[in-house]
Amino acid sequence: MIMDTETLLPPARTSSGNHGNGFHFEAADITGTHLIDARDVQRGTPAGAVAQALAARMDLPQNVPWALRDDRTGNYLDEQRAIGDQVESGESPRLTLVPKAHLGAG
Amino acid sequence: MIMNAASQSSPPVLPPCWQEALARAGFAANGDGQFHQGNISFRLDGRWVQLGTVTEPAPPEVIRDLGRPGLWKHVAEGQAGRRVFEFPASAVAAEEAVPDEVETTPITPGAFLTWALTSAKDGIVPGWQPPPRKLVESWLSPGELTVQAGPIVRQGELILRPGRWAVRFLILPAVPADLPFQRRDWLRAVLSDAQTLWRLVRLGFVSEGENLAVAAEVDFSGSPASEHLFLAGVHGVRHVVATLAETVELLADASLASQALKLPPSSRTPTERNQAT
Repeated sequence: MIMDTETLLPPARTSSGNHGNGFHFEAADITGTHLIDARDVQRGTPAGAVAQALAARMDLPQNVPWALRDDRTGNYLDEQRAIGDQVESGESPRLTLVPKAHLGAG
Repeated sequence: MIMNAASQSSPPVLPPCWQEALARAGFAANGDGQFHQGNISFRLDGRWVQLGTVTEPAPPEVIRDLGRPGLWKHVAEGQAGRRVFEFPASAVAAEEAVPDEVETTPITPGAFLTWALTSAKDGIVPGWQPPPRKLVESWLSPGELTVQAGPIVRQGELILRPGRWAVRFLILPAVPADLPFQRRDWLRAVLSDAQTLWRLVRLGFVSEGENLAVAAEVDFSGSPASEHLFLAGVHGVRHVVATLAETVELLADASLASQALKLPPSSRTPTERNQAT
């Protein structure tokens, strides 16, 4: 199922000021089943909150913590930091939504 | 919960500190638990201090207060409306109980009254400056300016600059330019209801670059540097954003066909609708 969505997030605002205009990216779940075109994303929003909202938009379980991975660099985004500080907006970035699964105990 | 509520049957006894401050500010008691100064009334309504103007006879356009200093906002009352300025009474009590260790304006009932009366005329207390950003940010928990409600996430903005102190969220980043007028009427109705129902928070339309956006804010400009009041405002606006975001997004989705939304919204206030059911 390929999904197109409405605006996910509004233009950039942060607790410490305006980071500029919102940006746009594509997000997919790890299976590639869902594809979301996220527009007008607020750059100051913590990546973890964006990940949870994307998971809800894709009807993925909400009792699972989700993380975002930048497909261009392969890096996982720090959930505490602003998404706009971690993703370059110039080249139509694509992010993958990944469940934060841990193997083994503890 | 910080919804506006009906008045209590018997007015509470006003603490002496408030009575003294009201007398100094020129308020006179009228015997029904309210004090008046000109066209502004004062009352302690349960846990909330409420100042308000007399009712205006003409139907108001409620959502027209964004960007003004202080907490004053229009609310609907029947087919009329008035302006109110409300804050939790505990903001004064809490600050009096804990001596302020920071060099800020003394937080007394008189300071709150001065703020209210000055901002009633869109003014700022002379010499007022917002508290330091570092101090205000220290009052916030991590992520407290982020609201995530299901598929929607919104990031608040802490505005601190000379002459202004506010918290603002964009509930909707861009109202489609071609949104039918009926949908705009519904948006206005929802925002007006919310502004009337929920204390402290003002709503409305703002320009964001080339876009018209829907915003919610609490404005502390001119206020004493009260952590208690600030956090009450932050919690209030977070609740309003979480409650309204999906509804507002739906109303602004012109691609969503709805016969019901082609009809005009009710002109009755939330209180009137509750009484009718």
